Amino acid sequence: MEQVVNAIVLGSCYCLFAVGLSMTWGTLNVLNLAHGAVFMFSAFTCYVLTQKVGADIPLVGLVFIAMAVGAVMELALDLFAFRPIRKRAKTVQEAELSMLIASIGAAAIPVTIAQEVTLGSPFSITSQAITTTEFHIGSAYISAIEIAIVAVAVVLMVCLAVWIQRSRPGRGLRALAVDRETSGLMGISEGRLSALALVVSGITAGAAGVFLAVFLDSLTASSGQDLLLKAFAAVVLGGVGSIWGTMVGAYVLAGAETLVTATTSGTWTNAVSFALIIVVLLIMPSGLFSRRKVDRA
Amino acid sequence: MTLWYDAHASLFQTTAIYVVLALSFQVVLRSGVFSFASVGFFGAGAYVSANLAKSGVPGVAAMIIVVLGSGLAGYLLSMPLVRLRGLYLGMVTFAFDQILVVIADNGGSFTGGTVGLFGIPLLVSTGELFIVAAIAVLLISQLERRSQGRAIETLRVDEMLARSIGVQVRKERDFIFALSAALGGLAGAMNTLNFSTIAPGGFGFALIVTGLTMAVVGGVRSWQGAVIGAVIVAWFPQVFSFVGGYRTIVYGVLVILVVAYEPNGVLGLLSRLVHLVQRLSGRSQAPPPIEGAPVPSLAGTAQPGVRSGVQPGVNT
Repeated sequence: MEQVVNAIVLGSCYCLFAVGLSMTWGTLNVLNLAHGAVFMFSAFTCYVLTQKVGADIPLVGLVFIAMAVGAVMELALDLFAFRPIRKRAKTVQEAELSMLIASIGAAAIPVTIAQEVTLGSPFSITSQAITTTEFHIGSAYISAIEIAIVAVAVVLMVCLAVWIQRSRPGRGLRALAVDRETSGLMGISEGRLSALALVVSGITAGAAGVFLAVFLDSLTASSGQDLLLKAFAAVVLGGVGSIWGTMVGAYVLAGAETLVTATTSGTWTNAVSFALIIVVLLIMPSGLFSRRKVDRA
Repeated sequence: MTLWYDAHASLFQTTAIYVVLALSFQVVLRSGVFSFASVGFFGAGAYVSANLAKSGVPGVAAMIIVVLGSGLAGYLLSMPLVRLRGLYLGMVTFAFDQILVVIADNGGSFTGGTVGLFGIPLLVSTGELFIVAAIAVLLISQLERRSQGRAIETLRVDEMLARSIGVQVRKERDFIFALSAALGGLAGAMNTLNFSTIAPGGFGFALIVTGLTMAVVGGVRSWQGAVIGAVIVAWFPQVFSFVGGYRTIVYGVLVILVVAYEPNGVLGLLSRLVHLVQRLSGRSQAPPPIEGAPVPSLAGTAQPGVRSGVQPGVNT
């Protein structure tokens, strides 16, 4: 029962993180490998603020700071790397690959800073464990923070799904995914929407950063890379570009990981997501929930 | 001179190893196959050669075994990936690298777990490293010149076109995968047999960044780019020692700049420079190389071409 609670909280964090990845990939053809670094660095900023500077900020404030940091980083990535590439690339494939390479380069920057500051040791946002009221349902204990994480994550996801589905920019983004030339002719500005989508994905990554740092109580400079692969697994399982699919994928992955951690020694946990990626891509590359054509020959 | 060489011996060794690793990246990127598997094979080659060396196999034999083994493994890896393109392929090979790191963490006495292996017998000399790297460079440069190498390059430009002019796409892809894997494994073996240690952290994300930096900064179009990139990255910490541990940041910035503004890397910059000089000196009226068109080598673009009667200074 305890494990189920863990899986749900973990799944909510994965979900928040993965959805940004899925959105930029599905609509803009950007596989953003810097997403993990953004996630890590926004949590890292909170660590610096609370531990190094000694600022006394409530958790809610930290969440907003992390969201802002995430948004600014992704915006910078779009303006300084993706935009010039998109401008000069001749074909979609060329742009895709160049942006992927650029995002790897970009990821190296925050990861190195965090690595040098923490000297590779884990960091956590608060010095003492956050004490909150605990409830128990049956045999499981669940803390108020865990409930808050799940609630905020679900609310953000629903907002995002509605935004993509209903709002003007959301529909513009989906139009770009279908046909960028035609949507350009119809007055949809790819540059502006791409910046917007990356900002949104930065916000969710920042929130995921603080939540996961609180839930796991420690992150390292390389946590982003591990999480990135988990998010890939969730995105691929759910189907690229599908928000609901990504949610299902994230919870399935969290459940599978919790199961593996509970039954074996923890060191194999990471292999779950990698194996999932490979199996899904080989057997059903379009994922569970995607109706879009997948880039296969 | 010898004193200076002795002080920098490890840099020379690193250069030789990086050249092979950079070639491994460049070979796949040149053909438009987006694979990070080189780093995974680097790790696999490192562990296999470490265990071979410990059980008394001579260095050269260990390297040959690793090259053949990882070449075969790369060929086998290519088969299930045959339908994947672009981002999906990049992601699967990224996952492949990370799985190997997890396996190395859990590998028991074969990999030494998270601590890794150390005290591996030093079985290659610096000279041998350079000979191996030179052989690799020679083979790749010859391949690029031959029809097969040119056929492979068309895969990057347009796969459909390649198919239509009779390039056997699947066969060439399998070959590229095998070649890149063999080079990656070889680099790993060279690294282990020279530095006598390997740990799971040695072929993680940082090595992907390093390998990609070398290939991209140098220019993926030609083996010369890989060599230039490898030399730059290997000597960078020495020349810019004041940057210290933050040098990965500089790599990151370099990669972004190159990809965004000069996709053909240093090589592209050089060939443009050569062109500019020729234009200014009025020796050549050949139009500048069309971007996106295959530029097989620096030497190819540096040839001034036919002299025509057009006056110098005429804008082409």
